[in-house]
Amino acid sequence: MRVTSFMLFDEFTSSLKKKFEELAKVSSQISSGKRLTKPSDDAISMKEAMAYKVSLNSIDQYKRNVDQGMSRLGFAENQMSSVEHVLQSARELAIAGSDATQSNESRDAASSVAQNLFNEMLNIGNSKFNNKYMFSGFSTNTAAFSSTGAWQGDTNDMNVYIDESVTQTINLNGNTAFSDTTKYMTADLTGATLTGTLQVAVGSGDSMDIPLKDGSTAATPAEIRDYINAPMTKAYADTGTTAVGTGTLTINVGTNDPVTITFDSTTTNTLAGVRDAINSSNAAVNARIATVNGSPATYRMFLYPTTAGEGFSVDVADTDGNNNDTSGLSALLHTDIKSNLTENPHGLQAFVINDGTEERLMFEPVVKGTSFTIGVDEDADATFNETAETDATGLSLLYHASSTTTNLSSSITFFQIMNHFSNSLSNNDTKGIQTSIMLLDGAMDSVIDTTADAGSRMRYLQDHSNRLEDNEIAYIQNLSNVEDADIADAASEFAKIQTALEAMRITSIQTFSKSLFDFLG
Amino acid sequence: MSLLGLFDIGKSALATSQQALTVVSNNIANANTPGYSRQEIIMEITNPVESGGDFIGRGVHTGGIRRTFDSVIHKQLISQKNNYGKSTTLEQGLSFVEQVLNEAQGLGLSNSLNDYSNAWQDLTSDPDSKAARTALLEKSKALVQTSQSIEGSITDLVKRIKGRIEDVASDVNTLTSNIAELNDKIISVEAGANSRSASMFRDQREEAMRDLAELMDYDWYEDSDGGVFVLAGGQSLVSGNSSYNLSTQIDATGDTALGSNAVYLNGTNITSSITKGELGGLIEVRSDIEDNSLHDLRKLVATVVSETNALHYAGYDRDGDTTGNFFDVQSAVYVRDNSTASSGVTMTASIVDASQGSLVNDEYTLTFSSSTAYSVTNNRTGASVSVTGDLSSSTTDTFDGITISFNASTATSGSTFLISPLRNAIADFGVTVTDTDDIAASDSATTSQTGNNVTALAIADKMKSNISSLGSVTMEDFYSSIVTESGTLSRSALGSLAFNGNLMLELESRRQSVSGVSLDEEAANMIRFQRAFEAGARMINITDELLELVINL
Repeated sequence: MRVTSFMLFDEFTSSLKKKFEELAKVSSQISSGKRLTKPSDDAISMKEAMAYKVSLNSIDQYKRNVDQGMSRLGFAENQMSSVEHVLQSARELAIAGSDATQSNESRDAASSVAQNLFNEMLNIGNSKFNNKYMFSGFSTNTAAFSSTGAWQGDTNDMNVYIDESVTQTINLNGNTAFSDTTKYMTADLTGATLTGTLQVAVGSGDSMDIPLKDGSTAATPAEIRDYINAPMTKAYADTGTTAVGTGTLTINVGTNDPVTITFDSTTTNTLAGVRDAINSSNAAVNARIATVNGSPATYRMFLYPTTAGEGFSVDVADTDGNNNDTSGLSALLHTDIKSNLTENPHGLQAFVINDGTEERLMFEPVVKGTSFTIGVDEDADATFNETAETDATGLSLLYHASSTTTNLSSSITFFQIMNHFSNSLSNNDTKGIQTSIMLLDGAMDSVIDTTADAGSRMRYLQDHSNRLEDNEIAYIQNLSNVEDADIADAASEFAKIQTALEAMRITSIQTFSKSLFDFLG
Repeated sequence: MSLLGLFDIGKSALATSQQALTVVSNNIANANTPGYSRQEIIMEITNPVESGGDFIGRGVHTGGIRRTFDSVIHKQLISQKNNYGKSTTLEQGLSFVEQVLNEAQGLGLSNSLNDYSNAWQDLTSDPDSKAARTALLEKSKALVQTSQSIEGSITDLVKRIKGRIEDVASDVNTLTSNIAELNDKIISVEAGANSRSASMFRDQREEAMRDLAELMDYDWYEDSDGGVFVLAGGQSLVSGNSSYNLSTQIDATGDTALGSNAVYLNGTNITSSITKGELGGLIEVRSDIEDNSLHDLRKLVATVVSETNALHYAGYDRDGDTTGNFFDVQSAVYVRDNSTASSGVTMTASIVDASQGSLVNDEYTLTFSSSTAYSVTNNRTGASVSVTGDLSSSTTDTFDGITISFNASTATSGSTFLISPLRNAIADFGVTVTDTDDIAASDSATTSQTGNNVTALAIADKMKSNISSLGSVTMEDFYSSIVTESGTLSRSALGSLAFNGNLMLELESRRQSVSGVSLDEEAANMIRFQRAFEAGARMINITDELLELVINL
């Protein structure tokens, strides 16, 4: 090919231009330390790099959220352990107070200690995090509990994102954290007229109809408690036919004179006969017959003191001469009232919770965690749970079909427990104090559960935080792989291009400096 | 032949050598003239005379001056200049967009978008905090500013491109009138039976045509009289000694705010026929930028607005009130009459939903099939959109969150409208909320719920969720694909520029190889013709001596 000087110049200038472009690129890599200086350098790596940067940025945010959650939950956990201390102190006080030898005065003194414990609990419940009430749900500017311990917050949970589409609840809600949610309790029964029949069923057992006082006489909560907790006789097939044995029953109530009732074979030798004889006697004890709705139906009799909560015993003199066997009258009742009787054959226990102003009934299955129902027949027409009997007035306040259809609340707050406790102490109510011990135990279990829940969430957050940090390191590594320049490579490339440039300059000067004209003379 | 004849032969040798030296020196002088083709003298024997049965030449004369020129290379160069001109323009335009969106140096929208999303996250862990609320407002304003400045840079570029289209069109007009003038000269020089080649003019015309090729693609042919015809889009640009001017206008699809976009020749819109050269490159890069980067960016912002607003609108602020939108909602949807003829209707469109939440964030084409019936298609999916309303003359037809209104029964069949809720999405972008207390972080009207973070949580989640109108990717992914696409386009433009540049250099060097001046070669020729001149002069001298000899006999 014919080569002209113009071509040589062109060739030289275009090569020079290319070399300078390469030089510029390499030196920008060296000065910025980045392999990617603009998207077109490597669009795919750029996309990757952007994705890593977005992830890193998100991880940063998620770590902040996790830290927030951990400090909140950590603080809440501390508060719960303070709650546990308060409950523990209350329990010790209750054990001491339940001792029958305690005097009214010492119980009064204990009551004011209990009141202090209540206040301490209230302070914990209204504690603040970041100057916001931490147990009141979303209502962070409202104290979680009023001075009487009434719940004032809402039950919303504060969630934050700790990862893409993963939320974590970072608060403890006072409504659950400060209550024992295994207990079922009525609303305030003060002033409610409690008449009719209750139908109690626990688990898959047969339901039992427990008639309250006859006719329209209203029963008190304490009486209902006694009916439900009363030991019951064995089940009889009927109330008016089968002979229950003959002999005498001597009923001893408190310091009253013993009352002796005689049962002979003609008039009173049936379950109903025994009941009526006891009820018409002057003994301060009444008897009622509960119906077990089995197939066929059976009947159990139970005795309860006329004055609620009073202790009593019954002595049996059986005509068959043996007062301790399971035949004759001793089969019905026994010298020691409990021997042949069954406690809570229906499986439900009842307690009275009284904080001085409000009186409530609390129910708990004997086997914890078993479901139970309470049917109500206010008008005693043998039809349970009519519309008017589930309306939360009168005996209907006790209506409980399932956790969704119920007039019972499924929790008791620690403040209610503390109030009940201090009221029982000041009222010298040993039964109430004993109930308090049971309640305080339940509350402590509940606190332990709550603390464990907060603890496990914290552990989860800690694990997650570690995971986020691992991811962060991995992403940083990847980002660097994609984006950063290999300085050693770039530097050697730089040197190479410089050498090439130098060579080009030298050769081009040699080429261009000579022409035929130089030799013309 | 007489002795005096020798004088004539010597004289012809002197004259021809002198002419040859003129050509050589002209070559040397023009060694660096662009488009110059090396010339060669053609020497011929002057009519020989019969002498003693044999023919003897009577000297030399110039048969003509020939330029060394390869028409195949010329044609190749024209088409390569087309490609090169286009690549250069594409590379410049696309690399600018790439720079605007350069995430490698953190200049793009990604950071602002992330900060905005994080600000909502921060609000979730402390919804009542004044600091978190203030930070959110600041980050939102930063997002608005960044996106507006990016859009501004891109629309400035589009405007510059369109201005450049006008400049190039006027450059084209200068060149075509040049070509027409040169045509005229070539035709007159080369006319007649005793044709002489108008080398110089041809060199100039070919250079002009190559320059024109760098600006736009065209068809051409040379007529038998030496004139060239240049055609573009089926219309004449140059015909003999007349040239026709390109003009630029805004056509039906153009955006008035961004300047003229279409090229007209003899009253015909030839925009779509211009696919190469700088003009072709400008037209392509303009639509690349408008249809891709700019469109997608606006869509992204519109999505941020509608997704945030939809949730914010339903939420409650610190005072337990609904405060409406977080970002400003466009007052009217952009509508453009794309009809070629008069459409006969005035159409306006607005957003149905106060929060803009039901908007799909796409662009639509509305076409009247008769004066009373129309259909709407989604420009992205190409799918037909179902419209609520009677589709004829109603003033309250709605589709995809847009209400349109137009006058009844007056439409020209075939009229089309562009309805775009995206066009002004960034221009109208702004933060509505000014009071930090008005930020809706809560989902409850209960004033006491100062710690309610449900709405903030939902918005934070939305920023990380796949959005169906973005093709089921997250906003961040969508943005990164805008950046990647700009990088890929710029990369491929750079690649094709390098390829076309090399190819052109190669062709240029082949043209040089044939037509270029080699100084060494010319130096050799100079000596050759110098010697020939000296020999001719010597010849006259000898003849003179011979004559003297004869005279003195």
